[in-house]
Amino acid sequence: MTRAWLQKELRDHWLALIVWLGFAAALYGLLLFGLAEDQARGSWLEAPRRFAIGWSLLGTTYLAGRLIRREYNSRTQLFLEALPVSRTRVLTTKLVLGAALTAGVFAVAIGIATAIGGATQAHGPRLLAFVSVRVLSVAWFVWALLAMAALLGRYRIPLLLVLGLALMALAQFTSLELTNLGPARLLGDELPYEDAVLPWAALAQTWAGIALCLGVSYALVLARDGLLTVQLSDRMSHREKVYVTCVLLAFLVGLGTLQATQKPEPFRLSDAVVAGKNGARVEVSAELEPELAQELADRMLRILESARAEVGLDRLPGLTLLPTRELDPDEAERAQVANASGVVLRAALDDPQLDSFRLTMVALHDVVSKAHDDRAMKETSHWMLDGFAHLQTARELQGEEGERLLWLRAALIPSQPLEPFLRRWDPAQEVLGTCLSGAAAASVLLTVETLAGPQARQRLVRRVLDRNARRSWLVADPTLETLLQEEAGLTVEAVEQAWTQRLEAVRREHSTVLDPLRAARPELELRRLSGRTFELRHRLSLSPPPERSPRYSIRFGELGPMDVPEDENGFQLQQAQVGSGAFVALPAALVEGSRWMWVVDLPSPALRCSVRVLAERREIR
Amino acid sequence: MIRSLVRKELRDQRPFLILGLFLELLDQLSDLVTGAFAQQPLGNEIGAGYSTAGILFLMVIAFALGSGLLTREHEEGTLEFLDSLPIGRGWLFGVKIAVGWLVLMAGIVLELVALLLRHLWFHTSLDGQLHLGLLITGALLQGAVLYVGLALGVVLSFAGRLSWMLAGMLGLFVFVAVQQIPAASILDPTSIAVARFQGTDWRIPWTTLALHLTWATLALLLSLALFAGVWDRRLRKLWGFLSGPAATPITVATSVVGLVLIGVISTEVAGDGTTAVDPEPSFPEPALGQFDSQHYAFRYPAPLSQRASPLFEEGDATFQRVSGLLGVGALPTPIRVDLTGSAQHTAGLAFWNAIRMDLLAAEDGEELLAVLAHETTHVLVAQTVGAERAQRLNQLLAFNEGLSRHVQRMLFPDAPDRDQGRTVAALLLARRQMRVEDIFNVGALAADQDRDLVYPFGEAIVQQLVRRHGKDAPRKVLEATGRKDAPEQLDPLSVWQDAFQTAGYDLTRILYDVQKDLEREHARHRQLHDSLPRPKPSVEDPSAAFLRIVTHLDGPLPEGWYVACRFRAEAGSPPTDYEGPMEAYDGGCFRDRRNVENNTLWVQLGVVAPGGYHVYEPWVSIPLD
Repeated sequence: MTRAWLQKELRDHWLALIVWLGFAAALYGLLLFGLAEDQARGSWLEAPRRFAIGWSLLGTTYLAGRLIRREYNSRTQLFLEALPVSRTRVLTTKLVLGAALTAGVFAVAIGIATAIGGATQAHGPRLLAFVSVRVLSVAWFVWALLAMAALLGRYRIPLLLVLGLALMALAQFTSLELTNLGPARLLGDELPYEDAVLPWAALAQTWAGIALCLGVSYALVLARDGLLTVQLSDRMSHREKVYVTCVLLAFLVGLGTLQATQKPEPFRLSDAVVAGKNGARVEVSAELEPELAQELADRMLRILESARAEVGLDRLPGLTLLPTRELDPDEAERAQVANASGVVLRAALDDPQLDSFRLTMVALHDVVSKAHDDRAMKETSHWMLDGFAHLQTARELQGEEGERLLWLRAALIPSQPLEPFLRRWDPAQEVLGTCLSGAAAASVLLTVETLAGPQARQRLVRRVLDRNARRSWLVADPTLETLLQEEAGLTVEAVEQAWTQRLEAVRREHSTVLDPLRAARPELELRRLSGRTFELRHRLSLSPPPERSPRYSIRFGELGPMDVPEDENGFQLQQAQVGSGAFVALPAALVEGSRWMWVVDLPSPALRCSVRVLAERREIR
Repeated sequence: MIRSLVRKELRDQRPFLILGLFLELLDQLSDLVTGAFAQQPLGNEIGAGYSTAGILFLMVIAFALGSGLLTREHEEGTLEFLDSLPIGRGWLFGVKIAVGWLVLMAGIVLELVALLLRHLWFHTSLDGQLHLGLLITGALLQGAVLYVGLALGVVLSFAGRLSWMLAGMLGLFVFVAVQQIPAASILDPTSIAVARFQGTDWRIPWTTLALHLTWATLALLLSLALFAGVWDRRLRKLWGFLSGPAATPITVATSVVGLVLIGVISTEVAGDGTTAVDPEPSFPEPALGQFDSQHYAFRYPAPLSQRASPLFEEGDATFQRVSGLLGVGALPTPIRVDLTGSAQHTAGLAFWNAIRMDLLAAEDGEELLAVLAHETTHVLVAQTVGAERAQRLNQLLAFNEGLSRHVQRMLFPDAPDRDQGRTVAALLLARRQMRVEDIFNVGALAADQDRDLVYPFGEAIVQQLVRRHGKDAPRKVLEATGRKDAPEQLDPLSVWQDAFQTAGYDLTRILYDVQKDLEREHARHRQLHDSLPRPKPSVEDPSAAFLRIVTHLDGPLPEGWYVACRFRAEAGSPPTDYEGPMEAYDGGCFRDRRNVENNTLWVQLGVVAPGGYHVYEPWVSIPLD
């Protein structure tokens, strides 16, 4: 009966099987041809390996569809039910035929590769046995899987999709390496060469997979007197399609969300000088001279470690420093790193003129901020982050001179009430620029220290940058009044009064340095170029005019419809001579109705940074 | 009755409602966990939410809903039941479409409310407004996209199982059309709702909107006609044809067309084929800086302002010194100087009225100014010759480069001179491997020697010209080159002779002076020249797949020099097809045998001076069989 059954299958599918074999031969021929062209090939047994990867999926899918799914889809199995043959035998015959055809094709493939390579390469019987076992195991696994899927009828594609996605998710969220598992491991790169050890674990996993698929297949065929397979072979209704799509979409979106919430691995350079201590770690690219890299890493680690202790953080995210020639020595640029955590900065590290203050300040700012997922960047906390980064850097690198410089910079900002100044930190930063706003925030911390002592200042810093930053984004931050009262026992009025008095004193003391800068007069005028376009012309004068006229910078960029903090470093830059008298036109045509922002900066050697002279957002009318 | 119908439709579309709710909930949950809530102010979020990908997703959902709206009643046999109700198919159709669109809009409204709530809670002091006008405009435009997607789904649902494939093909077609012809973007319905702003206004693409709403409405009217049974008999025939005999050919044909279109897309979208290493830090593109002086308009990477500042401070003075040396006046417009980079292995490039320079190629400000002077000379040379005759400068390449080097050296005598061009030129003349006249034909020079030799030889010619005839002599040669009545179609040597003769100078005498000058140079460096080995090649194993060409030296190389090889396919190969030069490694160079033609290996060995000039030996052809 079994023979008759086999004959029936061959009679039904003889033409399809010939075409199938023809395609297999063509694909394998192409593979062999490609391998013959590849001068760098190591073994002809690479051909069956590649063939197994391609054909076990392509060919077996077709075979499963032809031998199994077609029978149920076209309802011809109902005729078979009428015959005195059990369902088990029907399925077994089909499975065995499929397995035999698959095995036959791969056996021939291995034979051909052995014959071709035999002249030049020694393929011992042990190696051939290993290759055959591994390739056939994979082929049979794929056959069993697809045969089982074919019995699932209309749910086969969703099932395979979910299986694939689940495997991907498993690899993503665990340390599981898919290429080291079962069939993937069996078809590893070393297959054509490995004759010492058979990967038993992978073989066991593959055969367990085969057994599982076969078990499910028989269960499906036998369940409810074979009715289940018949029902599954019905076409999917519209409602089912919608539900299945929804489930798949939800699965995908869920995976995406899960992935977004995962904490990425720390960023690591493959070749770097590393310094680490307690909860801080610094990497400096090995492209730098080893002594310089070590010195930089050690210095940065010392500063970070001191900052960590000051803020009371358990540990800090890693800091990576990369050298570049594409930046001036007074610049430090932040990198976006996909799929990795930590802070990556680049700067002209090997330039003797490197602005260490700027590099250290940016590093400190970002590392402390990242310690609590940037929660310290909330507008209510940001002034504290800026102030702390400036103050800590100034103290670490410049000592008392650094503090004096901070006060000098802060004295340049106009007198104003303290509370709204700190509460509305985003516009304050924009109007004052990084140098002055950071110094202003640091001067507030210094005032608290003067009034209530270093411990009070430290408590204030820890409260905002550590304790508050640990809380959920949804929790509202305490007011400045509460913070000062609870952590330093001070009122806003007291701090404001002391702060203003000190700034006034500095202004009087350093009037020769500050007055010319305060007298900088930027002039901007919009001039209509045509019906709907304008140009912006600008000039800057100083009083009294300096002996050697410096250059001022104007950065400009177009804005969106809503106001968000802008990264001025991404804006275009124009430089012009101070006090030249003539207006300089901005190299941009401004269209009526568009919104633009421009900031004017003037370098100040006395303040060792650029001073913000003007910042403006304007709709062109 | 209508109310009951609406209830029934709402029940049918429940999966889409649940899906919308689920996705929105997941989105908000994810933002809550990651803190994106507070980190993305409305201004940042509105751009991301109205991106092409987001709008496309909406369109797909709308299509999915639309494609099942009518056919489901057919498939499940409920249409006959609905027909028995005292209500026409027109009403049925209207209710289905309206409920479908409202279900889809529910997700949009939900997102809008979530955005507003988040903004109310997390807004910064920079932007406390609600921007209701903008948000409602965005939601309505998304509603228009949903309407278009829904209409497409409804009308294509009459194609049965081919509907998704046809939709995919349409999408692919629009994508390719937009790639090829930018104006075809009007065909892309997703562009209706992509966020585009001018100031505080949403720029609504009225033409695109009108086009898509029109065809979507027409499609719905057609669907209504089909649904109402206007062409019932014909439709059934068509249905039978599409899902019967035509299904397979249509699927195959569509797949082939689809594959071709995907091929077109992938070749254009593929880029350079490189894949990013993960994780790879990425830094922002540098912003552009600008500084205009009297004679130059500088454009540079903004983070390199400090490095470029010597050019801003001394650029005009340099221009005046260069123009003074050449005896030419100022130009009518400033020279545009692009400081963002130059061609490979060059510090600068000059064009008619523009210069490109690499800020990173120079060691310091002095060297930058020297490069600026060099390239400015090229610009002034071209302007002196004039646009009509500027092409002749290609044949006077050595003169042009030599003059620029001469000016550079006159103005910046202390700028580092890292090459040994003069020494190499003197060596080649002494060995009789070159004549001075060989530099006139740059093509022939590049075939046998280093093309860059035009620099030292050209400089030597200009030096001797100035020495013999004064500093105005180069300008006179240039004016003679640019004269209107200059003969055309001359070979390189004749161009040189014509220019010098017209200017009143004897080219032969100048070349003689150069020869003598370089002979003196050779005498000064005789020891080095005599010590330089002459490399000879041999093939280690002619049958190997990778041929190793052994470089035999008859003596040790001086410090800083090395051996290089270059290859050509045959004797007549143009220099642009040469492979190399490549430095010999461990006493040999390698060549893939597949690149060898007619079993003959053409190889040329040379020694390379510390500054990069090559001293090549003659070409050698080695038979491999």
